[in-house]
Amino acid sequence: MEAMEIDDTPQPGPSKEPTTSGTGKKPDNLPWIEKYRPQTFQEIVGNEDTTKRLSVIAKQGNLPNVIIAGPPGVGKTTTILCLARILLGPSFKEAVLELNASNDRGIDVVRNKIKMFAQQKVTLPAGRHKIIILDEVDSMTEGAQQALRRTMEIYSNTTRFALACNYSEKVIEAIQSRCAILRYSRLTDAQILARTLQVCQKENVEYVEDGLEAIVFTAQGDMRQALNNLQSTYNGFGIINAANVFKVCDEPHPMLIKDMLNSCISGDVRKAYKIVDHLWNLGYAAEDIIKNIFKVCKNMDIDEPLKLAFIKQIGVTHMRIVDGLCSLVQMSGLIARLCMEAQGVKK
Amino acid sequence: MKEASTADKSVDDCDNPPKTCPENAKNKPKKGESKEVEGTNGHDEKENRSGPPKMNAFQFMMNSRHKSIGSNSPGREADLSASPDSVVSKEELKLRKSRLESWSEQKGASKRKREYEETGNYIDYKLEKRKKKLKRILNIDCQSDDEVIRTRKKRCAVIESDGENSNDVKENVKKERRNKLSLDKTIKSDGIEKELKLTPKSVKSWKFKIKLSMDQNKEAETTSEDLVSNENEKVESPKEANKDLSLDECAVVNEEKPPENGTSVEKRSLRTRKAKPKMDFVYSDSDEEKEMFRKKKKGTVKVAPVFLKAAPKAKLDPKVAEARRQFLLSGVPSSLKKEMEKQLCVEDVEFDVFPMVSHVQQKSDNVFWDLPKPELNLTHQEETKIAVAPFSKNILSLEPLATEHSDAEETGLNKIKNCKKIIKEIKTQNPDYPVYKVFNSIYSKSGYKVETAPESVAQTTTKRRGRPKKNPPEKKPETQTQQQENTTMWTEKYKPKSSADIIGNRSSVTSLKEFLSKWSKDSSKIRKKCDSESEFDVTDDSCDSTKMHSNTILLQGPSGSGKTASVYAVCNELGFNVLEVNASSRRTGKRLLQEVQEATQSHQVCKNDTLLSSFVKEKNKKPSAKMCVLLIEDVDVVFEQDEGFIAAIAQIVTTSKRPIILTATDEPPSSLQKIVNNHAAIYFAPFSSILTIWLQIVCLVEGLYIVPKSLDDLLSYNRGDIRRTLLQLQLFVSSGGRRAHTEIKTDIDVFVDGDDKIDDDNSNLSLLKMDESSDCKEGGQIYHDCQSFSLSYCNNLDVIWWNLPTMLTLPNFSKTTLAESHDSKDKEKLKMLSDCYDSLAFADVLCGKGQFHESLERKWRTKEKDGVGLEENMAEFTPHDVSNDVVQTLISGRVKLYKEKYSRQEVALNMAVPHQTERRWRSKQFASEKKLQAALPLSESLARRAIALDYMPCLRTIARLEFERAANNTKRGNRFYNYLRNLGVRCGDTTYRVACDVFKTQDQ
Repeated sequence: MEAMEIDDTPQPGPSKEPTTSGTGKKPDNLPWIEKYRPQTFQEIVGNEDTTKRLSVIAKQGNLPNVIIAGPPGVGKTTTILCLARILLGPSFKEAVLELNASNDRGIDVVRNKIKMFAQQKVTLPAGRHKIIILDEVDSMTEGAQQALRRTMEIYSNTTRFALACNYSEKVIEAIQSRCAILRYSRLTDAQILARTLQVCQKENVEYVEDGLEAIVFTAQGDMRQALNNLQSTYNGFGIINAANVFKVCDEPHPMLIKDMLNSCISGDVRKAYKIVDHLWNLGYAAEDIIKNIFKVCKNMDIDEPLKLAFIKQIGVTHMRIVDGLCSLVQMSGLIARLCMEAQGVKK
Repeated sequence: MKEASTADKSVDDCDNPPKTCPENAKNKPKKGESKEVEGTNGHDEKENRSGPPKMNAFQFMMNSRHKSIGSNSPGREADLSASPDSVVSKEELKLRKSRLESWSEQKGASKRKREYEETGNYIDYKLEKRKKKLKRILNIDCQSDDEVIRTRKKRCAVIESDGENSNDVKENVKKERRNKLSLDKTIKSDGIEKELKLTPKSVKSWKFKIKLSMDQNKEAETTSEDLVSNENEKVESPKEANKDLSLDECAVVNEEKPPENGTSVEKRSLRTRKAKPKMDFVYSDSDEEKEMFRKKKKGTVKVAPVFLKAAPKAKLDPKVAEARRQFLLSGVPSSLKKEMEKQLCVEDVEFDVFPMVSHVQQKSDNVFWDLPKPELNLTHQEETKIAVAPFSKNILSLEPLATEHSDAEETGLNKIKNCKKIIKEIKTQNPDYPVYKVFNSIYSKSGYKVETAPESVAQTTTKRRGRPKKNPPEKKPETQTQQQENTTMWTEKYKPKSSADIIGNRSSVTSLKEFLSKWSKDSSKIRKKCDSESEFDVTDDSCDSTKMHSNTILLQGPSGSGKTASVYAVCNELGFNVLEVNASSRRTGKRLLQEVQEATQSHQVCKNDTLLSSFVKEKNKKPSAKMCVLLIEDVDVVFEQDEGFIAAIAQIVTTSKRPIILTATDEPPSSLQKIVNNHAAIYFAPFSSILTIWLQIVCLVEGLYIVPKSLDDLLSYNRGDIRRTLLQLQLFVSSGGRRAHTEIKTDIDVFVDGDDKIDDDNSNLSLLKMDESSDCKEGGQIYHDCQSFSLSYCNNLDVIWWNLPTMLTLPNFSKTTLAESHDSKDKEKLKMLSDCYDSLAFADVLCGKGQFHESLERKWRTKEKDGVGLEENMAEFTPHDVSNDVVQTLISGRVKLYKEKYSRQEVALNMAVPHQTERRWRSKQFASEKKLQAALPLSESLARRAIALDYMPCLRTIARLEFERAANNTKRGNRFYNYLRNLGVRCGDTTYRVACDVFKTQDQ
């Protein structure tokens, strides 16, 4: 209930504090995600095995076409940029063509710009190739991907492709067939915490333990989000604590949800419903609530079978919400079923 | 202005003839005389004027000067006003003006112009006629000076009035002129006044200068339109100006004289009177006088050169000169100028370009080049040194037993030993497979020191011409092989060079080869004929020969099954050129035709037609005589931009005299059906596990031993896609293989324990270990990754489902055991297991709601397809990540739970790699399932009411109609294609039959 009050507090604080803290310390406005973007393989957090492999390749120079697939904020683009920087060194500018989703990447661009670049001659040391970086390939139209396929092969003597995407299955088969696929997984909470701490120290950010915890929780394995949240909290409030973080990232407060789940386990439907009702009245969408319930549930320290049973029920509800039934009735139904599961598993 | 200029011209005409025409010898001295006469006259006048007339003259001059200086009004008017008889003259002037205006209004300007021209001509004529009189007049009439002067004045007046009348529009210009004239007069009078004291020359020159400046003023005043003509005038010649000047001069000079005879007023009035051009009789009357005047003027013209010397000085005025030069330049050089500018630009650019390419940059001491080696203690570097010089000799001699002497020479001892051993081992494992042969060929391709294996079996070393193909290792110097071997991708490096190199798809490749070899025979026949007979016969024969067999073939198969590679390999073997058209370039129908038609229409007979040259250049002929094969890639990929592509293909296919090979991944679009029906299609199957040995050897050559099973797994995981597998292996091997591998390598016996070590290479690359998936996404990626066979949806879960038994290491539950042992433990286990499958089933449902398997809509294919899909694409609207997470945590959690409890050892997850037999069994099962589904009424699977009421009747009707149509269609031999199939709806015959049969029994 304390948390509730924190949530309820009006927002005069943020308007005051940025004037005091924001002006004094930081003259540079570079986003931290850019400022602390890793420049070498050693700095990249997470997916050590893959990055080490890539660092070996970067040393040798013969990089096959690769697709790096993985969720957002795990360092796909960073890896590719590192790779290109190490492979090409000073001629990075001339020998790298980077296109991301904000560029026009229609069929014509593929057929003209990319092909032209592939045909272009750049003097490079032996064994190095030009690199075409296509970020977010899965957002390319399939036609454009189709147009890419033969280019990837024919000019492989001089040009290599490094693609990054979230879902490799959205890349057409033909392209997948021409690439070695590397998969990145989400970063662990520990990795994110470590990096966040590093940044905090470098930026002289005041922080409280639970603040960082909150950051890690909201990030969910997404380093970009973690750093963004950290920065915006710092800019807004000056100090990183849980309350501030959740003010910045307006989510249903996990403490509330944890309370709710606990009361479900204990079989107290009323209390659980009260919390959900409160969240609902605060105006959160069913989608948001269920998402956070899942997140909290996943990280909760409860009996494993029970957790899985809970997750299954949450999944059912989520399915319904996706179907369009985002009403409070569904949420209360979820609570009821959770309670039943808790009772059943206990017996 | 034009008319003004014509008027000027008329004046010129008047002026010129006497000037230009070769004057008689007589005239010249006379002019001199006239000059003298004038001069004497002037003297006389001066002398005469010493009395009261002198005063008059002075007064007149002063008046005129005052007037001219004080006001811009014509000096004439000033004179008139100043004169005592001004009233009369004013009236007259007014009268004249009004008359002139009325007259000019009455008559058209053109008419007048003509008139003036006529008069000009007439004057010329008269001039010629009266030249003779000149002498006489000059000689005799010394006393008649007054008359002459008067006539001169008249003439001046006439000319002036001509100018005035000629153009109303340009009156202002005329006025200016008149101003100028009058000013000149006044100035001249000034000058004359000064003449008394100063030398005439200087005065004249001064005067002239003033006049010129006046001219300039005039120019400045005139509008841009006028400017041109003015400039013209100017540019035309300085002479003109001189002429004017001289004319003025004489006028002025003459003006001085009237005071003797009468007042200036009289003179003015006379002039005005005479100036009325309306009165023709005046013209006629004054004709004689005019001539006289002209002759007089001639004299003055002769005088002019004296001033001419001053004139050029004035012309040198920088402004004028500049303007003139610009004008002269303005016409021609505009284009030249541009070119010059261009050249300048080009030169500039060229100079800029060179510094841009900085060769200095390349091997700088940048940090990046000298990066510390990552501390993965990998032995890859040594591995690549396998340096099998002696070894390959052994292979060559095909004496694998003669290993002893090679042992002595080794540098990296154990490597080579290993390699040999491994090869031997592989051979023993696969006695049927030509291991050594393959090893040799791969080895030669790999470029690791090749000079010892030149005559390796079945290795055609012919280089391809059709396409820039690279086999770099063979050409590079030995010292740098280490570096440069690595520059190509394995897919390039190890691609087949002849049909013998191609693994798998034997029948397809041979049929392709047959197809092409027919052509090569034909072409050789043609070539022979071309050599022996005349060209005309050849064409006939070739036409016949092309008709003998079809010219098109379609290669079909999934990506990475070696379609393109086999085309290139076969063409390389048969010595064909490949002309490739692929989807990476723009290929509208027009463009395709443009590029290709030329190639397809000709038989590419040898270029050097003459017998002699063909004899002489026997060697050169061969390459040029290569056949050309048109390879159109990805015919199923047609973008909107490529309009007319299909039509163009159809056209090419029908008209081509070359073999055409089409490749397609999917079934060709309906628009291509026609082509496909008429021509053969070769299907390429994905590679089977026979490739694993080859892959193994490749990896061995690259310095890594990988257990065949894991390769097999990888290959089947990639669904027989050799390209993908090779690339993944390359990534894996070149990044150092498995780290644990290093230890194995240091041991001598590699393959003793290789079995379980290496099979996680897949998991490193593409699969993820389930047991490590404590972090959420990792487990989830299994689904993303594991695309399995031909299940229509939910591939990933299906794979998991198939793999679940191996994952969980199921105990043997039989009915008997269950019945016998009412062990609670077993039941618990069973419950856990059921939970696992339950969660899987739930995940299946959940995935069904999400976007996991929204089929890739192939928009680039035929347009008809778009309309057919009944499903909405919800991918954009559904936030799927949560359901992903849910599914993945659920399953991984279940599996983990189960494993923790029951399976002690951590089983490395071997996802999606069922064995060949298992796969077959599965596919059979799937097929039977499908059959079962087909047997069920469609309404079972499509339960929606709208579909049942709206779509189904239509579909039934279509099916029945098509059925009837098919029955009637027997007259032609070709195969019948259903309407629905043309639309891209693919369903089995049973479906159609069911559709036909529904309700039919009731009808009957």
